[in-house]
Amino acid sequence: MTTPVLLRVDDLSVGYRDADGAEVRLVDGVGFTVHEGRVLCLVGESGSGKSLTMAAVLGLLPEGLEVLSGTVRFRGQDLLTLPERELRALRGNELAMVFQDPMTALNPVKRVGAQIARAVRAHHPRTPRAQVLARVEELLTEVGVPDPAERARSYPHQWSGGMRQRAVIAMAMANRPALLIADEPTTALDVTIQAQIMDVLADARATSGAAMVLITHDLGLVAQVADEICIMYAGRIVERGTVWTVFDEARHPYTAGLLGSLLSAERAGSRAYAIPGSPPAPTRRPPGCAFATRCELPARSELCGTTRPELRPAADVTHESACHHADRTLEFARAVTA
Amino acid sequence: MARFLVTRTLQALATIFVVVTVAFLLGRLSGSPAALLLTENATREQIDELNTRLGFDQPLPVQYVEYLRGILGGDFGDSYRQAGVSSMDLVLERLPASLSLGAIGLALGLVLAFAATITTHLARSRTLRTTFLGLGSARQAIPDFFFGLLLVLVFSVTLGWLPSLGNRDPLAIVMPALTIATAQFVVYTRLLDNSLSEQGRLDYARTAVARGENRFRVVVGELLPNASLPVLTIAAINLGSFLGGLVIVENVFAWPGMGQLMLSAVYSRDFPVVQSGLIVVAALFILSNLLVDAASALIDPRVRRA
Ligand SMILES: Nc1ncnc2c1ncn2[C@@H]1O[C@H](COP(=O)(O)OP(=O)(O)O)[C@@H](O)[C@H]1O
Ligand code: SF4
Ligand SMILES: [Mg+2]
Repeated sequence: MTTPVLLRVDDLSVGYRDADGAEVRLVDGVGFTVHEGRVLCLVGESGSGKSLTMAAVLGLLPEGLEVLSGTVRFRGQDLLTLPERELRALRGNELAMVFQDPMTALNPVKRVGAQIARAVRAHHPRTPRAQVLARVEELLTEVGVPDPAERARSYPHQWSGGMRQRAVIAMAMANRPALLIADEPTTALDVTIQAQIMDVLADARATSGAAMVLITHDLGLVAQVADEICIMYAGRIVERGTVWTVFDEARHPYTAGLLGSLLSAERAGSRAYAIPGSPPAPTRRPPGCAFATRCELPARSELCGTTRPELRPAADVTHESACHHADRTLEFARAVTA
Repeated sequence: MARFLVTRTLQALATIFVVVTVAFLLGRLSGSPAALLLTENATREQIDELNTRLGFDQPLPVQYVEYLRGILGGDFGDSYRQAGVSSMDLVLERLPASLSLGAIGLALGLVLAFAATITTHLARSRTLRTTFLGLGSARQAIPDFFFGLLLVLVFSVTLGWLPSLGNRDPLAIVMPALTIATAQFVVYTRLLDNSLSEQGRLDYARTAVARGENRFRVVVGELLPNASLPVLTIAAINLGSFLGGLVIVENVFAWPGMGQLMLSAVYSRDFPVVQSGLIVVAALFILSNLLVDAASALIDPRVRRA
């Protein structure tokens, strides 16, 4: 059962030119597809390029960084070449975003309700005031904020982190987006609040039918919500597939390592697997596989140090891996997750 | 809120008290004013009589208490130069002229700085930034009195468009106000530019873009209120150097304000006038700081709560 393609990213590279004019690729040739109403998870350690990938999709790259290659098609339209005006009409409307840190995502000097109201007004400037107020209240109710009329008139510093994230979600849902991008929406929150926020997101998606790209490094969360999953490492996608094929049959040693550390963490008593070392800096990536220095796959070979593995079908066309020895990973995966 | 008001009032009173004391000590430092006020061949009796009348025959602490008591009763001492005229009246008479020039000059400077900076940020133009800051710095490198004289040379002497002296002609304010405004311009342009750039990198700015706001809305509606806060604070700190500049500008353009009065009072050793002038300046300082705090509280809800 597949739905039409909503977002299709191909060969997306993001980075900058260093003092010598050489490209530094923080995101390097990333591609994936999001279908209408489905959930795609971008997973990887911090610094792997997840946020920059999605910032590039929305045209929100920080100053100094640029798109170095690729296309981003939303309903067939290339967002990277779209005039700013038309891109603006999509942002916050069909394409909405929820950010990682709710403590800083809201303007400290403006009332929360007014900020949500702006999301409505930005796209429907002539909506009568009373109607906007009613809509803000309705949105706050949907995300589970008690006393919405009252709370709307207060300022962000009067809200807790969890409540602020609800407000940010309300803002994102204001115009019933077709695609919601959520960048680690629970990472900055208390563990007890995290599940609540995920429920709010699930409810919001259920009412709007929005597709979602969820950025996270929490594989437990992925298991609960994802349809598709992309594992990112050092700016590239190293494994891609439906969530259960990837979880059941990891075709990349990095994915296996991530699963290993997740499962052993859940099962107290068993010895925890931890991927050794840390990822290479974007300016110092090795010529071959970027994971080579940390890879513990018994089958790894000389090829790993010399040739960069490209993403290609591993088991079948829907399950891809960027490992020279993708056919030898299952045993390793079983060993580290045992 | 009540506690805030009480603290602020106590602070204000303490500041005024310190200024009054310093003003008193300055006035007594140079000893009896007899040498100033009487002719060279005044008799011993005349000198003694003057010292008794002004209280200079009393020990310093007694004089101080007398001075304080006078102030509490609204008597700030008469001018040495204009016998029988209250020094405070002389100062207050000049206050409106100074206030109007200072306020218009500062407001114009702020308006120019905000307009320049907002334009720069809307256009995201490095060229504009360099141009505005370059022009502003070049202007600031010229001393106020010299810049004022240049204006006079061009607009009064050569072109004959504007009156160069006094404040009778309504157009007379143009040049002194421009001198002040252009001197303040670069200070606030640089401040606001930094502040806006800094705010632009914060998460809430990205949130605003992500919900579909246009550039104008982001810069003016979201960043500007936050970016103005540090500018306001610095404006309050900068007030001292601003008032210093005002004194010079008043003298260059013969603007009949307090600055001009105080400078001539210093030259003629008319200490009561200098003292009263200092007290009024201190009061202005306190008042502006209160205004700045009120404005900050108006913009920032977190200040309001504190
Ligand atoms: N503005 C920037 N300038 C230079 N490097 C950046 C910038 N923003 C992020 N990076 C680098 O790009 C890489 C990817 O960042 P990011 O996409 O934020 O990672 P993730 O979201 O996966 O944790 C990191 O190595 C980070 O240090
Ligand atoms: S290509 Fe080689 S080094 Fe890279 S993940 Fe596969 S086996 Fe490990
Ligand atoms: Mg991130």
